[in-house]
Amino acid sequence: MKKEIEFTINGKSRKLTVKPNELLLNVIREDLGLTGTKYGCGTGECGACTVLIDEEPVLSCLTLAITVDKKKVTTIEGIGTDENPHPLQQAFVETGAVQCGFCTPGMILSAKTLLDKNPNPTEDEIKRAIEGNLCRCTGYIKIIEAIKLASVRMGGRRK
Amino acid sequence: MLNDLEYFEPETISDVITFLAKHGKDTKLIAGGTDLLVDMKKGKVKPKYLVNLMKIPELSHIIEDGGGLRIGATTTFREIEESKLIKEKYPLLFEAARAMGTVQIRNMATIGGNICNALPSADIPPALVALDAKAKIVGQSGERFLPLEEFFVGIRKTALESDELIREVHVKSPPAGSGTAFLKIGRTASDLATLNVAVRVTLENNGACKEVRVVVGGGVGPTLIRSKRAETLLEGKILEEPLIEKTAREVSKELKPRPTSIRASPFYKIEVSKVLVKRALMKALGRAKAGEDR
Amino acid sequence: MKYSYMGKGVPRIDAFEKVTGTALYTGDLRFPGMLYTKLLKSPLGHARIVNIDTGEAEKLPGVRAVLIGKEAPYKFGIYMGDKTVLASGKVRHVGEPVAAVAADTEEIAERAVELIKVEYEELPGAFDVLKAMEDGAPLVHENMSEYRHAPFIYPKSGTNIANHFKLRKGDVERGFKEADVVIENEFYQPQVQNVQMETHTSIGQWLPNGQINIWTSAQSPFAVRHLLSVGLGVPLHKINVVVPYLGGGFGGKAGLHWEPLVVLLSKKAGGRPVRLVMTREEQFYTTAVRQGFYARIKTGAKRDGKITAGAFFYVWDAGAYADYGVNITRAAGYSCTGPYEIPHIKCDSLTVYTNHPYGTAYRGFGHPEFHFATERQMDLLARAIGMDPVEFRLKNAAVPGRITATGEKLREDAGRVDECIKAVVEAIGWGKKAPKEVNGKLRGKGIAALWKAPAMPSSTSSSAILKLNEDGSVTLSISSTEMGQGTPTGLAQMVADELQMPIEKVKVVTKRETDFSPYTWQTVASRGLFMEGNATLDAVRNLKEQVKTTAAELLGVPKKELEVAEERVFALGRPDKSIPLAKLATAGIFPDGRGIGGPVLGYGYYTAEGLTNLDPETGQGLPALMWTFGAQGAEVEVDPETGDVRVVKMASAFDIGRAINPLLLKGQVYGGIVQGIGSALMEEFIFDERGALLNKNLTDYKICRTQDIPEEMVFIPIENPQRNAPHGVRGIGEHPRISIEPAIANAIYDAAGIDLFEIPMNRERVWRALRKKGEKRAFA
Repeated sequence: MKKEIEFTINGKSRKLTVKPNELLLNVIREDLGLTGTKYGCGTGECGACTVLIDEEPVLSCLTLAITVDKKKVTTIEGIGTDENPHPLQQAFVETGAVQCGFCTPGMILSAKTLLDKNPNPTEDEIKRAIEGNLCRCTGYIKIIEAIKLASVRMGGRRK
Repeated sequence: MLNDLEYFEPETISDVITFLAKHGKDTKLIAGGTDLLVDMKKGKVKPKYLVNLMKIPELSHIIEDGGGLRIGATTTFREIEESKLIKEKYPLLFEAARAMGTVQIRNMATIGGNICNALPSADIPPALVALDAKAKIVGQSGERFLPLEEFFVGIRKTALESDELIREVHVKSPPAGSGTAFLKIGRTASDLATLNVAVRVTLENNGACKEVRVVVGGGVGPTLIRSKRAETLLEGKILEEPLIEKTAREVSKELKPRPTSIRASPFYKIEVSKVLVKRALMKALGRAKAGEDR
Repeated sequence: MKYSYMGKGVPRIDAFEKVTGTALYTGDLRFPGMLYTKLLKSPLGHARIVNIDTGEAEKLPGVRAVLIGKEAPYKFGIYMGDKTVLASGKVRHVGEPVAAVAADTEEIAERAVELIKVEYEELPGAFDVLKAMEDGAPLVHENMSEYRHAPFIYPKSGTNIANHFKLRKGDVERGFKEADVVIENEFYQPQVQNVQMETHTSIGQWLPNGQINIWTSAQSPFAVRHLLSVGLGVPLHKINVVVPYLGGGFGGKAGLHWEPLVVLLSKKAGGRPVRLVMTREEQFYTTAVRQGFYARIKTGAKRDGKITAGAFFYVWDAGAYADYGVNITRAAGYSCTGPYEIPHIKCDSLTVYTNHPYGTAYRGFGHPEFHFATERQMDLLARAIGMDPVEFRLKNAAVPGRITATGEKLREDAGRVDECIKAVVEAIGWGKKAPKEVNGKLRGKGIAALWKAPAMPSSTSSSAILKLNEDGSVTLSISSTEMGQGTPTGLAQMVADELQMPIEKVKVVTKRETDFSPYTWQTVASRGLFMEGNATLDAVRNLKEQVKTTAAELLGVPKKELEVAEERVFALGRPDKSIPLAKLATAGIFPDGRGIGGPVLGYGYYTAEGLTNLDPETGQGLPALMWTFGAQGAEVEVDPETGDVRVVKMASAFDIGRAINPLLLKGQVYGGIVQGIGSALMEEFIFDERGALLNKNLTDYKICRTQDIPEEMVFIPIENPQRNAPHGVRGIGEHPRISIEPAIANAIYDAAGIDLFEIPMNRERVWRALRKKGEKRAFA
């Protein structure tokens, strides 16, 4: 029983036919070819598969693709490019917040929602906002620093 | 991998009830999916039909009326956590809601789903029971209200019939003179609870305890435990530390943790529940005295 | 000099790809006709496989290959050839794959796996490492004596002991007699998992013409090629191994893992590419983990603080296969003392097979495990003789001129553990008055030192190729993989400095491919920047030599008067005698059009110097290319009522020789610390009595999240350059993770007066120790 869904992916409208038991993670990676979204655990613990649905971070490994009909999905590929990076992307590069890079897409998306809603977060608010994204390389310090830097550059924080 | 299934996306509650009346036994209702899909991936459940509740507008709301709160079943934890109303007037719910899972999980998981999954480690049920919450249940034979502690029957077992669903959770506004506290022990932030405690203390004008709720969760039995002993011991009394300590010891006698938990031994859970219950009662008492929770 | 990148926090060269989600990892690659693999895993810890029926699975439409152990009798291993890719004859641990299916989709493969029927006959298992050493214990490998193994590994036939490393120095009994105080203690660490965010992922293709192609999340492409060739008995040159970015390795992706499986499935499926992505659950109990550890240490010291003797008995729970484990056992054995001089030493370090998941390398290669024991023991011994633990450590510190356990006299440029200790003492305010209780929580401080050298064969080598491009830019090829540590960025800095060109004009090839990339031994052991660095500098020298040779002819200037900088070759002080590098890339051209020279390809290598084999009976010899010394200090807070431990502050100092890139260096240090805190406080494998892992997912097995990190982390680089190293640098990848456990344990003693001997120091364990000690507040 396949069904056609129509949704926005990274700003573009898209129609797809999906089976009701297909996971959004697989549709994004396999059907849309957007491999920046990663599989890390499949049980909603690690956050590597984080995408934004209607601007809120959720886990694509625990989301049925069929349920994003009429919704707006944003992946890491949708928030900036090499030529025109998002301030968070730029800050992650400069502060050394990236190591192996596997958690980075999910981490940046969680941080993006934080800064969109709260341009001047405290350190505790930053930690809470990315609590759902596991990183095994960095010890999180540089990531927190990067989010602070982006917040300054986006005009939220007075330095 | 998820089994093949048929998917439905009703827009009204009555559509759901009609569907459940026909296919209830082969159906799983899905809201946030954060528990259900994990179970389905493991092959623990293989529903023939999946009914998504998230497109039903009348299931998602936080409404204050008649001296209480009505929370729609598909209201997410994040919506509860970010509700100004809840943060200001029901801080216990705010604290319990944000203690659950991670931001992503809280964006997806719903209060109704969490309750229906009936895990003994769940965080929000103890808080709801401490506020005398009731589940508004609807089904083919109409609607009924059930105090939440009676809703939980066992590990992953509820009083829900196969043709029923939770429509709302009703929470009474804490009476004047109330103070509440939610405390949790987990191995890391965002862990399932090794132990959690929700407490409400309501004081008389003369400072005596009018009403108290001490609810312990975190796998201390097949369901959470609302301590009757605590209510007997404390109601009508002036709450002071020695009595609170005695009560905490008595509460611990009501706990029956499973012997096999990987998070902590039953011995630890029972012994340290005394610390948590005491701390929660002291904190709630302090808040009640300060008039923080109204 | 115009360009100076040494010591600068240059952003990593792969960062942009990673923040935009375009960086490709093995699981992101797609090939036409690719098949998907699912595994059938053993539910039993030790059992004979009586029968496997794959009939139904093979009939399922879309199934292209079903493989069982009998069809793949090949033994693999780098130090100990003890492992088949599928269980054959019997299963040795819960989670071991028994059969594999390659199918058109993952769904089909999974359904097929469910159709395979296996009949087992359960055998008594070896689930306790100490009991597994006893006579009459169930044997995990009956035929161990037939296994191929490295010459420096000493298995004991007819037992579960896969390696017995011995070290004997001086006369240990005499040393104990000379001591005023002798103490003996036991220590324990459980098995844990590396928990790389990317699970093991491999794609294999065995073409009908014999060509084997592999794309894999492996740390060491050349090791994969070599081990596969030996194991399968196929010609090495017919194998091509490609490694893109790795989503974390931490040792767990070193050596060979699932590459043979996908290759064999591909062969059976007629040469179609076959992919295996391990599930997180499989990452926990099917693939390799860190070994468990038991130690019994006896140490004696004089009242003046001088250690006279140490007897070290280390037992490693290798699990079902001991391939890497045997070398961890050896490395821990020759480093057994920690960074101290002890005149009389006896060490026995043993790898023991059990029916647990199989062990491998995990950041620190045994050192975090045994340093927990030795650095706890240092505190306990200092206490026994009534000396401050810092003073006691300094008194015995392995400083230049002193002799290590293997008889090596530390060189003047060997690095200074004493400076590291003093820096950490300063940073955590050791000995300074501080409140012992804050808001009802007990506060304390602890210190632990450390050392580690790369564990590798004595003649290990690396190479580099530096290509000059037609626009004057250069392209560096190396085979050390990028898994988050940042070595390629450090190498790019070195090249840019040496050639005096902008770093933007230095490209480091991201993909490693054995058909094209220069050889390197492995990406392990914190050796990358040192060894690839030396090889890269050698390649730069070679490239300069080539361009100068051609330029000398073209400019009519003696070669020795030429310099290379700013993308030109030129004669000093003679602006007219200059030629752009771009004009030399393919060949030089004389004014009349004649060509000279040819495409410029710098080649360089480095082979470890001065290392020797160790004596089989005494362990004496030279095993260490370099020692990186360090010290770590913790300040903790203990809840006396619940046993909750919170790390308030961590300070670390390492003698890194020279900081090439402080930004990436800090990343390694902070990341290592937080990994260590996870294992110190929460990580552990929990088994049932039949060897089934009870916490094989991230819900039940916890690693640190953001809120679990210390409030403050301080890193103090100590820079005493190493003579034979590129720019004096020493390895640092593993070290920040080594002495976290003992520093925290020592701090817990300082805070609460309890001695812990077992990891993890979780809430309940601390709480039980508080009660045992009679801490009133732990009795509610």
